[in-house]
Amino acid sequence: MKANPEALLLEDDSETLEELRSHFAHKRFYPLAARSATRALSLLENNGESSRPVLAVIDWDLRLAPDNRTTSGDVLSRLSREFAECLVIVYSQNIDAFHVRSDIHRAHPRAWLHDKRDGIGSLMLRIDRMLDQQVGDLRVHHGTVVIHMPSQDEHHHREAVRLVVHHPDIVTFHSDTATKAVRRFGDWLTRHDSMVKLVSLGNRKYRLAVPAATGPDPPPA
Amino acid sequence: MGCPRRVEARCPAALEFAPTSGFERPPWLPSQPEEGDLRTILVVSPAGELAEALRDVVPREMAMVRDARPEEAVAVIGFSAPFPWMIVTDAAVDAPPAVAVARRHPVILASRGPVPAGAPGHARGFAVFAALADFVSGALRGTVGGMRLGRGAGVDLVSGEAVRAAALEALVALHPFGFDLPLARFRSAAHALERRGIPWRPVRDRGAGGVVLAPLAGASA
Repeated sequence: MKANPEALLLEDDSETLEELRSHFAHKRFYPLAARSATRALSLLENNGESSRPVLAVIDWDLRLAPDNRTTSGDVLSRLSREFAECLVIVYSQNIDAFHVRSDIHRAHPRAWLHDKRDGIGSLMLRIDRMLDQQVGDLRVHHGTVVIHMPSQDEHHHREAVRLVVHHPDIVTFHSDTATKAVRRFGDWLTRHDSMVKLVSLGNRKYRLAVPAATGPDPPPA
Repeated sequence: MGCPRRVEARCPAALEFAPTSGFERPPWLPSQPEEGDLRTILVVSPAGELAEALRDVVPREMAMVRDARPEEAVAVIGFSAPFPWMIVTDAAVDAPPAVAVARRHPVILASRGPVPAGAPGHARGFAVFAALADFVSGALRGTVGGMRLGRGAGVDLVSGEAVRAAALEALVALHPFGFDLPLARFRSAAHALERRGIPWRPVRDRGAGGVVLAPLAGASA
């Protein structure tokens, strides 16, 4: 079963948003692109029932947004409250300023920060590094496909990708559909005799386990 | 869409400090207490400097730093299930909810500056930030009897099994110092150890300042 992962993209500059959108579309993500925080919140609400973004890329400064009824802080708060399993990266020209970092972390304590002055290319590189993880004999390719390297077989479900990119952290899945997909991924790992095992911690919490002999896995970028 | 099992029925203590009225509720707070995937260090300060500084020394896979203003503390504590792993207060802050929760539950209470009035004996005060940061890092790396804090939450046993028990997690983190609380508060930790045949139990030790983990008589430490 295939389910392309969604990426929430919030950027007020239309050219940069288009660059981000085409980058993620090329990687076979389903981009949820918004120029304003209000639109981003609406995309999250409309998609919350059926799908949940694996990744959110949020521009902190939305001065060019077509409407300013809500802020990027509102989007981050919503992501922190209801989409805790979504990787969030926030970028800003003033990311070094204490008040900016503090405001971002108050809205989303687990957000990764990126300096906008390094350019959009640097942001994309960072995101690619965060997504293209290797865990044991599994590798995420382009952030959308989990590959079992010995057999080169592919698993395309977004929840499998979510588990691998969050390794070794615990992921809480928020629907029966998602947990069924995770269990199917666990069966797929067993069928492929993968060294990576799916560990259920109850209460819809799962993580991947790799035998210690394979050494520690690198942390995300 | 289904919801993950809520924890208030299992942990009624979570709601003891829930806001009734007149308290500020930060926008990122969930509508109900929910067991997280990551232990929480709640920093209560008038601005965000202390939280941001601690964020730099806390490995993000081990704990999440939550930044709260004094007027938000009661809401955040009330919605942490079962309770925050550690509360850090700034000297300039009057934090009765932090003191109250630490007097009733195995919550590590640390302060930059003198210990708040009325705090239990296990509260720690640090004159300089570097000492506070060392204390927090040391607590996250705490080991006793082969047990150590797991990534995210819980305690990893020598066998590799992970145990979710907040009281046990607190004991391991504060060791060799004790909790100035009744021994009965650590019943869940004792049960968790007994069920798994681990020869350590919470005991009252006057020299350690309260309840600590100690090897059972006849077992080697």
